[in-house]
Amino acid sequence: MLTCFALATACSSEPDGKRTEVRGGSAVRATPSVASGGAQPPDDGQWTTQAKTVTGWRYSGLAEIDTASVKGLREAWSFSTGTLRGHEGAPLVVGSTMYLVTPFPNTAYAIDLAASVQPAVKWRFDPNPQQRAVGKACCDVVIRGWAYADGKLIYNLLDAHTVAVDAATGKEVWRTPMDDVKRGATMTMAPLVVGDKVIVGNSGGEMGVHGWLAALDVATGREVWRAFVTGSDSLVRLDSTFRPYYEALRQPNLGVSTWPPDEWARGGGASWGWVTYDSTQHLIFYGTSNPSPWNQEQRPGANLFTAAILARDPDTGMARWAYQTTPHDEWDYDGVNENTVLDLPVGGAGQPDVPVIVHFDRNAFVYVIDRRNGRVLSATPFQALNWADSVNLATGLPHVREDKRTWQDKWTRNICPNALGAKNHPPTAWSPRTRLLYAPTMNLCMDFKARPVSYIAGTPYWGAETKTVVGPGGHRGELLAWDPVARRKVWGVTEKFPVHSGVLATAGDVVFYGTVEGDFKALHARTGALLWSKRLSSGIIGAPMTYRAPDGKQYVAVLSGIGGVMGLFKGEAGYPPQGGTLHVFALP
Amino acid sequence: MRLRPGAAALWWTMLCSGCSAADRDDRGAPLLPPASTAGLVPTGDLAGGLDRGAGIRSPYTEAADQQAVYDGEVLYNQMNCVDCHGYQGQGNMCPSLVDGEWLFGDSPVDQFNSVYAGRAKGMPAYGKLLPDDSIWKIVAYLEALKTRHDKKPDTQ
Repeated sequence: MLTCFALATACSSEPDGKRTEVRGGSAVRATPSVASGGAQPPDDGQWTTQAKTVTGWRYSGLAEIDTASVKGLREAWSFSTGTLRGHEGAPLVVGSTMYLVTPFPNTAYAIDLAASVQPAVKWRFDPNPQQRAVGKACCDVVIRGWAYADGKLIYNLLDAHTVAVDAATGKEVWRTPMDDVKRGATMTMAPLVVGDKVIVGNSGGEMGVHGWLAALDVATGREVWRAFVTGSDSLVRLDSTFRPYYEALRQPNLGVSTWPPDEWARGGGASWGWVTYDSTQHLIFYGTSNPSPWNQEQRPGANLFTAAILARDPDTGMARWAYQTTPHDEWDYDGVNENTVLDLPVGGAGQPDVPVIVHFDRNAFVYVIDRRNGRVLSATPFQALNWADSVNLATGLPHVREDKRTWQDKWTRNICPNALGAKNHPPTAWSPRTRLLYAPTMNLCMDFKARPVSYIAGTPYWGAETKTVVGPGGHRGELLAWDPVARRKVWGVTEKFPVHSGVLATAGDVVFYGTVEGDFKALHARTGALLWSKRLSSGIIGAPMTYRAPDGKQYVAVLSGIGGVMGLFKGEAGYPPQGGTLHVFALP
Repeated sequence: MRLRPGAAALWWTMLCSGCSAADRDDRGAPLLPPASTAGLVPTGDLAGGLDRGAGIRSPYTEAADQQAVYDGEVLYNQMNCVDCHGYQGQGNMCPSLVDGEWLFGDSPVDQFNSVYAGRAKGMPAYGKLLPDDSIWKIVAYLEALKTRHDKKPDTQ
């Protein structure tokens, strides 16, 4: 789930001088027709789920701030969260109220945007999660998002509870224990609400947890179903309706048979990333983490269904299909990144658009997958990649390079990408106007040595040492504009540090993201040209969002507050001080 | 009196009473308990209030006992301290042990009590798993780590 050691000096190794930035490339395209999904309904000005849409688009139809006016953006107000650790996630705006939640101790705030003079805190909720959770979280004590439904703010606590708070009063409505923090399970992911259920999952792929995804009743917090990622078919919730495209995934009890005896029960596969939803298929899509431990020699087999993407019925939790992006993962290539729901013309000339998900994996392939059955339509490298040569679309299997496999007590050198992946959990944005995905990516490689490890409950079940080196080109991050149909980069903007913020795309053809140094940037969505930038009070690993306030103006908001896995770079020149602040911008 | 689970006592008798160099295989890698064994042993989770106070003393004085340091390193790896606190003690998902900042005191007795009783923010209580002698060896290793770090900053 993360990589750990000795970044500062290793990452100063000499770049090869080749810059991949193609800023200013000719990316201008015609606005697509109505039939291809270009016309959007008028934007309601709210931002009620982490990606604004359950399809994971992170696109707003607001266009007051556009490529011409964005240069006039000014900070309208700011708000200290009072918390030091890494600030991930996007504020929600529902009606005239903004909601945000801090990293541990997971304090929630409601901010009244209609207050007469300045936005003002309406209520504050302190859930007081158990302190012991701090030492069980692998990658800082973050929270990656929160949800709103049925008059409640719903989110996960680091100590593996899900809590619902009355959005009007800030009073706790329910709190459901979901896992055992004493055994290393935490919860950091952003819930997704589908109908009357809220979907949540656990974290702890480095702690030997038993990964699961569950649905709770929004009204009561009662658990409706829980689907584990390993174990028997009944635990994984597989039955005759499970029809993955690839034959090899249709065998019974793969969640047991692809593991050594009993290892599946502590095999990781946590669902700590994003959940998206397609109302047409009535399916949710999500990914599962690396298998535990990182030492692959201790778990021969494919280790299903870790490092995989699954589609489930949100009402029952029964799986419809699965696809394993990294079978028998040896590099910490979690499959948890977002699955953006799109209809794309990838079926050939004259054919109707194909219902797909697009998934930028840690393993540096971007997958276009038929969301009806899990068939991989394309798998294309989007950053430095050498652990595999290609993905066989007939079998779905990557062709792994033998010289990049990892071993116990032996260093394997220069594996790309590194354990953080070519893209981590910070989510992409999709613009239906440009028909491009905007992806925050990383350009890192690694040396890897596994070590034997025993399972001791509540301690890391990890078993690997890694050293990170900078990837080809000498930069460590790149904001990519990617055409998922042509399967190519249209433009990219390189950064010194990995790009580890979410991305926002708007109808004004502006793309917003932030850097580790704390620069909040606005780019031209079609060319990548830098239109505006502002240095904030700390680094940005949160996700920008935009809304229309009661005063009728468009605002853009982002949390700053460095941390998360970017803490690996602490001490380097340019790495900013900690501290969580919400920054809100508008035109004068 | 504390009670240790029988499984733990037996396990330690077999594998780690002394943890000498003989407990290594021919490549020099430390021998580990079977992967299925350690998980049966609870580390304990109640931190605070159960430590051994200040009136205890390490049998391994100064940095003179290199065998204790060596054994302590083996234990540091076997008990999964390594993945939390780092391969050179520089910290990972848990705090650094070489940066000079000690949340709960920097004396060997303080360190013993941290390992023995655990700490509130997730440090397990190894007192339920390890005999005192093994904890003192870990402390000896931590003391040596501090010295090594002072002499030779991480150059990875």
